[in-house]
Amino acid sequence: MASKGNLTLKSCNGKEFIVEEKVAVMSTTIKNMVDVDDSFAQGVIPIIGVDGKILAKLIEYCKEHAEADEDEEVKSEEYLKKFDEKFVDELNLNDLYDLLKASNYLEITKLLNLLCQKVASMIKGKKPEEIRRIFNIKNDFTPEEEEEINRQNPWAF
Amino acid sequence: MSERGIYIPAEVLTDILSLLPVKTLLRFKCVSKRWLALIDSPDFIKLHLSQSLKKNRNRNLLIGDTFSIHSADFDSLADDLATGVATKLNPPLEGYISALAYCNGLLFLSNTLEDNTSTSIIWNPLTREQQIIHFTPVQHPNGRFYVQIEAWFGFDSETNDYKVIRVALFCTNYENDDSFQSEVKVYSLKNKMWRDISSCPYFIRHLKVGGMFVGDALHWIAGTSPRLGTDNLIAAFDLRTEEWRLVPRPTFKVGNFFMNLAVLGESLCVFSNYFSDFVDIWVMKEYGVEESWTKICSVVQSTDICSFEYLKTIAYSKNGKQLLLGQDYFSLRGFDLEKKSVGKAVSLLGGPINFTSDIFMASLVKLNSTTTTSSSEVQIHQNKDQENTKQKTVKKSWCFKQVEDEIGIRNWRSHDLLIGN
Repeated sequence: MASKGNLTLKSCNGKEFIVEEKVAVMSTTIKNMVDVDDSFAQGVIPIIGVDGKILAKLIEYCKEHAEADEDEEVKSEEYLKKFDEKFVDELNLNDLYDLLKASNYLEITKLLNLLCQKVASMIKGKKPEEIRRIFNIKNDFTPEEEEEINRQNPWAF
Repeated sequence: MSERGIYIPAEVLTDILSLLPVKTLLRFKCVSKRWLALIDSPDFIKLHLSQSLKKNRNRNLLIGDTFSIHSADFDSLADDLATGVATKLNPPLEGYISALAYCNGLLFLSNTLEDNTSTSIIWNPLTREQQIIHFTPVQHPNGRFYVQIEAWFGFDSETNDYKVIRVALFCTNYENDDSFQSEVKVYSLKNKMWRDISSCPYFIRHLKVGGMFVGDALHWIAGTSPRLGTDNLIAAFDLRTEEWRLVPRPTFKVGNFFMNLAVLGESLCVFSNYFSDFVDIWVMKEYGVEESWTKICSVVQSTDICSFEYLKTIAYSKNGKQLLLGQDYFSLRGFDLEKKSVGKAVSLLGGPINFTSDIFMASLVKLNSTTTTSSSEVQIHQNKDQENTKQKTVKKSWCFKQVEDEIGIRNWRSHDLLIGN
């Protein structure tokens, strides 16, 4: 059991992480759980659908930002910007998408925005067929319908 | 790229797409029916616009001269504000084209043809959607009057409607008169109708120059009467309530100066120009709050910038450390807000030599009309079907003229831009 001021988070594959409460509550979902039910603060908080590797990444991010929120002197805006850049650059694609889903589920808004921005810049220059492949989307237009849409915005291609 | 195919929750996908440039989104419309429906939905268009405003994305420089309108991607000017590439816009209008106003990615344009007829449109240059605005004739008072007529447009966030406002001011002597008359009409793009609005209680000094859209209202420099030497005020027309009001002014330095308005970011901006000495640039940080007027810089006539007569603010650079200034219709310059110094002129490839410049936000905003017409298909003389064929669609005249003359429709030239005192 975590000592006072700490929370225990448990990933879906059974890994436990003891983290400071201020770090864990950067997730609105966890904050709501702790606020509503005191037993979560004492016991173990299960993080459904998030494995140990992704949860470790989430904690790494939250730790850095929670400390910066507490003391702006130690971690400047400039420092955080660099940390964020490095954080997303080092992610492989699978982890990027898993983190995206996890930060959405756990409502870690800052991280979610950062990851959305990363995906946006990745897909910005892509063609529609590449987008379909990346997101596994079936083209449900008939060739005529697709041509009609393209005809309406020829300057976008 | 991963082969496994990635599932992204719907709300996250919406967030991601809201960060993309307009052109990319137009291209992504054919990804799937779901993507098309999302990109076309009013909620998404709104979200995308608010993201653009918040993050200063999708900004374009709008560069106009007598003959054409160009745009340049402002974000690619980067933080050093060094070089940009201007591309000619091809609005579906012939003749001399001038930009009257812009709001949420829509441009309000007007042309003048050789026979002095004119058409006005609201146009989204990215989606190429357009709507023609037909003006009703101005009702002139009896007698001899000087007249000033101008039109602008803006957005009413309460009814989700774009509105055009036309103001006609009449006075017998435009420098010494203590009274004046006015006619104010508002056109709703949603209802496609003109309505009369209570007359304008302020004499707008330089009808053409103002019309700055901030906080659901349009703003001008105005006085209580046409008489010169009376106080210059900031008058506003609220597009939600359709009422006139005054907006507090900054506390200016004493001295002789003329003032002008601009929009900077999402704030109302005033520049007070102390003739040959310097220009103070003020921003109203919190709309309507007098105490929130903040002087952000003072640009001094010096060797850095050459001498200038007229200076206007255009936009903050992406990192907010520089301010782009337009100098006397031929030069754009960055002003470093930290070092308080003027940078080199921005080199704008492909742009006109003499120009006016503004910033506008590219958007997916739709007009209620669904017509998307290419320039070759547009009928310029739409008014032939209208009942008042004989009436010329008068809306733009920046010259004071005796009303017995026909009101001239003059194109917007830089020298028309008179400056107050």
